[in-house]
Amino acid sequence: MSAYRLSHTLPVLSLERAAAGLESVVRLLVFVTLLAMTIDVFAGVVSRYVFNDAFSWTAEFAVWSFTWLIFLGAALGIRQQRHVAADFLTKNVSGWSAELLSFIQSLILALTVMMMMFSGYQLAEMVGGVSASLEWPKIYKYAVIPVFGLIGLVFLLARDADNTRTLIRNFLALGIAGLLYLGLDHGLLAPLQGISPSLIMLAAFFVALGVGVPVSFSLMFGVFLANSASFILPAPAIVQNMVTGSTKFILLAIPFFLSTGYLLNLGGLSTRLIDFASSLVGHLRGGLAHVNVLNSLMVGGISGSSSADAASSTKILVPEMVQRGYSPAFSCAVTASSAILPNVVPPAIAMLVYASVANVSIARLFMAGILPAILCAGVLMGVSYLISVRRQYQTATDRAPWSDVWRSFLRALPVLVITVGVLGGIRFGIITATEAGVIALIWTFVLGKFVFREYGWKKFYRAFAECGTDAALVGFLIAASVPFAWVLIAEQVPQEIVAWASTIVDGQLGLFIILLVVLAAAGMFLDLTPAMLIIAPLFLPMMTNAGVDPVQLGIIMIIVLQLGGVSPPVGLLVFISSQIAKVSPSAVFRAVVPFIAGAMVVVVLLCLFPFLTIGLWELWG
Amino acid sequence: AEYNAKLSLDVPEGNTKYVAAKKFADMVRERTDDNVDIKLFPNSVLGGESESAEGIRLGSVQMGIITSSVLTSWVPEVQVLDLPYLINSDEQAVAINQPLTDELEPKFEDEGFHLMGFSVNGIRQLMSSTPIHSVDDVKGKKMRVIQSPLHVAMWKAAGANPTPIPAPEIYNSMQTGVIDFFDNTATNYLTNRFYEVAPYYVKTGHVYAMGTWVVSQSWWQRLPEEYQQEITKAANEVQEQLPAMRQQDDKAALAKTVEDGATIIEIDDKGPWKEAMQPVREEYIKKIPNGKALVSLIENAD
Ligand code: NA
Ligand code: NA
Repeated sequence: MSAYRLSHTLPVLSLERAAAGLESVVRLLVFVTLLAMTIDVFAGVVSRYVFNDAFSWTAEFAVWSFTWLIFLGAALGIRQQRHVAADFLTKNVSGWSAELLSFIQSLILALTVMMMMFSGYQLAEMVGGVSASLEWPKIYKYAVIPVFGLIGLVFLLARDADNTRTLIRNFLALGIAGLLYLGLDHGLLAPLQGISPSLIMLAAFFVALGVGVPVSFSLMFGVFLANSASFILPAPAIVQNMVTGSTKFILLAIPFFLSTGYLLNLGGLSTRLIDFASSLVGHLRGGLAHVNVLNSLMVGGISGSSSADAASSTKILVPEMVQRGYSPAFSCAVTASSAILPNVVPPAIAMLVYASVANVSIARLFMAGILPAILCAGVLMGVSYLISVRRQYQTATDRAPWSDVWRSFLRALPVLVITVGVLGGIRFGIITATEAGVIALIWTFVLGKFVFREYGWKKFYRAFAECGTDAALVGFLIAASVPFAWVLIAEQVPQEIVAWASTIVDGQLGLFIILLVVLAAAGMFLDLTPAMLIIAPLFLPMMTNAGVDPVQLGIIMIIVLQLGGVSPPVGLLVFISSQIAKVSPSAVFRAVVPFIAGAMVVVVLLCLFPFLTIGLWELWG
Repeated sequence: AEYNAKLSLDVPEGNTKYVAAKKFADMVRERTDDNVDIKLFPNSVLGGESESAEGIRLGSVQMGIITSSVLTSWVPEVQVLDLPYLINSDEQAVAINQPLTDELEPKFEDEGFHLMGFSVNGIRQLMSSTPIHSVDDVKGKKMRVIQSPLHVAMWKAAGANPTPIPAPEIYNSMQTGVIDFFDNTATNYLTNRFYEVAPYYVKTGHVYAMGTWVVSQSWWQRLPEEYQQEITKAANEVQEQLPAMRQQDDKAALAKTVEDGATIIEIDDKGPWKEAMQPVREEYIKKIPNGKALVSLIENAD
């Protein structure tokens, strides 16, 4: 009896053990890579300012490390199931259909990973040459892609494999994926030749997204399928596109700002901000809702990630709001809508992405976010106030005495100086955005680890590896968006849409209306990153010709696309918040409507009055 | 059309390079009876120069007019074009085209490129926040250079403190004082509004930035021979017309920037600059494969 059971569980057990072992190795590599990047960029700052002599290789080394980080972290994301996916279909099924769906997910994932693996291998073989500064053979930069593929396949084999049946299911999925790969390689989709590759790509993307495949893999799946039918891009060029688009120097700031936000929570520094916010606005009607918004504004000045803010605010503030009588849906709605702020207050990941495609000054873009962020925060607090009055949420209490405000301000000060330091440093040209990110990160680390002594090395190791993985997932999403946008642009699809649009309107106002409609539509389905990478390069020439400042345009694009994160059907920020708080997303989507309306008012103001975005830079210039 | 190519450009529409590429594409279309269609993708929408070069090897992009320094990754010989004060006139730049193309073609072929010749992208001049009249004026100043050890070495030798910074960050780095000066070409001085942050345009003319006309080898080999000949002929014709076109555009661009407050500084005696950079020149002639022969080929072409 026991021998019989053992024979069934042994393969399951040993596979799980192997996968877990591999996971810890990859985690260590992610940690080391992020650490190397951090030290490298910091060394660049020190060499320039202390020794007055710049190393010529630090930027290139950082780019290489980021490439490795992205793909190693993406493999780890497969194991930990952390790639962002839309779950509107998967959540509503159970039993057999759930099993089938899960099987299809594994199949598409495995097929996509195989395609990346083989084309990455070809790329590493074909690219040749040495890099400009380090003079290292480029093959080592791209070799990480086949490595990612191998690791990813092992993790897919072990996906949810806690019994023999699921193990067999995974084997089957991988096997069929392998056959499909061979089939596609031998012209399985040849009959589709002649159909627009963009159409095939979009169809495949939406199907994969619908069955619950993560967004990034759905994008890649679409590109590969379109390509199998029409050969618009040679397979190695697809993965080359991923790498070059996602590892631009300016994007290197992403892991640093993301990690800074992470260590802020770990070091208990975020509670200092919340206490300060409470002492300022906690006494108003709807006090905790205001605290929630104000906190996002302050955290936003340090971290650039909306999804991280949505997650941490939901964990810390929503339970307390519910306890004090706010409805769970309203609490999540405030949290999700205020989570757009970290991407509007500088520094912001969305701004880095925009600057990387639009070639605008990141310093100007950062400055341009300040007033719109304050306006947004004001509007969100106003909406919260009106709803709180109507629903009798948390009546006003006594204002905290000024001595308390002062004390909580002092406690929050070591954290708040990061905002000032980052902004000032970039504004006055002492450091670049990437370097500012590194300095903020090191400052936060020193505060949490040595000044307030909130965590030990082991905890730090875990957390920093997590940061590395999260940054990699953001980078991987950017990477996957690049070839997707490439196919659309090479086929001149968006160019034609834009050209058509510009014939039916004229003047700035008409263009703005079209832009807003396109952004709102794209934001409903696409994540901010792919939407930005596709739309920005197309609207930019047209809008700048009409006299719109590219910086103003960038801020408007960021806010409207972020609103897509709180609107159905695919609203990432709402999903994050409702998932953590265990509230139905549809209830949150309803509750978020007045906040979206409020934010749209701000957007209209930003379109009408360029001063609100570009004015501050000119005043301080 | 029977044969389609994507030509990637890092410049906006209207730039000399774009206008030349357009002329070339039109000629090719006409002379092949619409059978070869070359589509232009300006503004780096298909990727920057380095990505486009990789794309040409891989076959996602079929053509490019790519700054030679980018291609040193694969063909280290072309680094010779970045040696300071090697090319000193448009006439010389035109004259070297044929012999240099013949000499380097096999090397490019080995690396997956078909080489169709060279043309002047522009002349590298200094753009600075403070006036620069002699080589002493750059001593100790922070400078942005392209990501190339040769350029770093060259400016270190001249006494400056060079840092490689990505091109999109030049404007910002100047504005905020991360750097004091950099080198670039006249048309970029206008189109990137560099004159706003670097009002002094200093005509050192230390390097001729050469555009390398490269075609994807796999695409090229699929073409019938008569089309190959027509394309090569069209490319060479445009390459010959380019210096005149560029001179005119440079002049117009500079006039516009002067109107907006820029100051042009002539460097009459380039001797001290040449002298300061001489050791680097010697060093790299030894480093570059076949360096000595290539340098004498370029110096003697007239
Ligand atoms: Na919040
Ligand atoms: Na931010």
